[in-house]
Amino acid sequence: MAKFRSLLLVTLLASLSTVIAESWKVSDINLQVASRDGTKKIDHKLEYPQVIDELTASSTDSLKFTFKIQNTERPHQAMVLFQSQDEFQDEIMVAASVKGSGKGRFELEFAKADPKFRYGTRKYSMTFLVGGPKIDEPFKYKLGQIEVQGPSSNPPTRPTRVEYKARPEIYHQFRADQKLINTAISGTFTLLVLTPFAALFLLWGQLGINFAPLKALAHRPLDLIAAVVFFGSITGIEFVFYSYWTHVTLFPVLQYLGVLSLVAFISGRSVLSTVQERRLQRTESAKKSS
Amino acid sequence: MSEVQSAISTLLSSYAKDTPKSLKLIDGYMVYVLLTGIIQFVYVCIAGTFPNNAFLAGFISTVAAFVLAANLRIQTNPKNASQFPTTSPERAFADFIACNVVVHFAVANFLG
Repeated sequence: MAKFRSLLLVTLLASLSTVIAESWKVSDINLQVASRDGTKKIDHKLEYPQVIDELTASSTDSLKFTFKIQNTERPHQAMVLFQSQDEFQDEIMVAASVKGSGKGRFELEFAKADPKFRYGTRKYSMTFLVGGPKIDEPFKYKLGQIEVQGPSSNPPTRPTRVEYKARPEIYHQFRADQKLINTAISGTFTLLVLTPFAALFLLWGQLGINFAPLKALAHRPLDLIAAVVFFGSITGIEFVFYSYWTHVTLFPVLQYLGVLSLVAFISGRSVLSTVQERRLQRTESAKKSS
Repeated sequence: MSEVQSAISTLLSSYAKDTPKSLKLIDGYMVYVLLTGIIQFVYVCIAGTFPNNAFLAGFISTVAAFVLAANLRIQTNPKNASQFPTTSPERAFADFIACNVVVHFAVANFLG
């Protein structure tokens, strides 16, 4: 039982130690500046709060940075942030690779690195950052300042600053309506277009049409009903067309048309067949009389 | 000149004498449709085609009505009866009505 209790205590302590915020422990921080042929110009061994100043590097030099993470946890991010100490305040991140052993490093050749290093001779502040998801507080170490000289010939031009601001408002322009012609002219022609009706009735009036069969319809109520239904349905169809033009949409119109055309078809059959019968009777009687 | 006059007068008199009344009725209708179409066309020459669909609908309706009336006249003419043995005048009239309904539907659709 006592053994078990001590085991419990150990596990509790172990869990406590992870609950108590772990912090990054970084050692063996080493910063070197080497010229192009490999000779070391500067070699600094650094301990956490220690700051270095008055570092200089020419445009062809390279900067080597090494460190070692003492934690068992490996960082997800380790980088040095360069901030230019002029009015532009350019920021350049240089990521370091960390091996499984905890050793991390990067090498930065100013001539091949970010073009921001080559805008001219200027000072950068360096901040070393280490962070990962299991440890809340990131490691933040202000290393100091370094002056990097600009290239001696054709430095890259700084891109002009993009200004984000509202563009002038665009107004939609509607095309002007096409001009309709004077209502007097169109009205005159509306009346003119109706005048051929006069010619129609004049010509038909001269024919001397025999209305006797129409009058005779009054004595045959079934035929009269068929005739009235036939002409009524045709008129109805025309009225449906008129309302289709003015306000009704297509699908109700098709429904009305379906009903009305069926009525017109059936009634028209009966009307026209009686007309045909009478015509045949007439021709036969004419044959007999001749 | 007098020959032309006499030719015209004989044409008119023979038309008045020999043409059946039903055909004269159709002829009167065709003259009416023709005049309407001409007036519409004159209007377009003066005013331009701006409501283009309206002009097209009106003019197409007159042209179609004229063509359908001409067909009705051909089919109901007793002299052509031998060419249309299966088409009685009543059948021709039914066709005329049905085709007019279709044309008017197209025209109403086009009037917009």
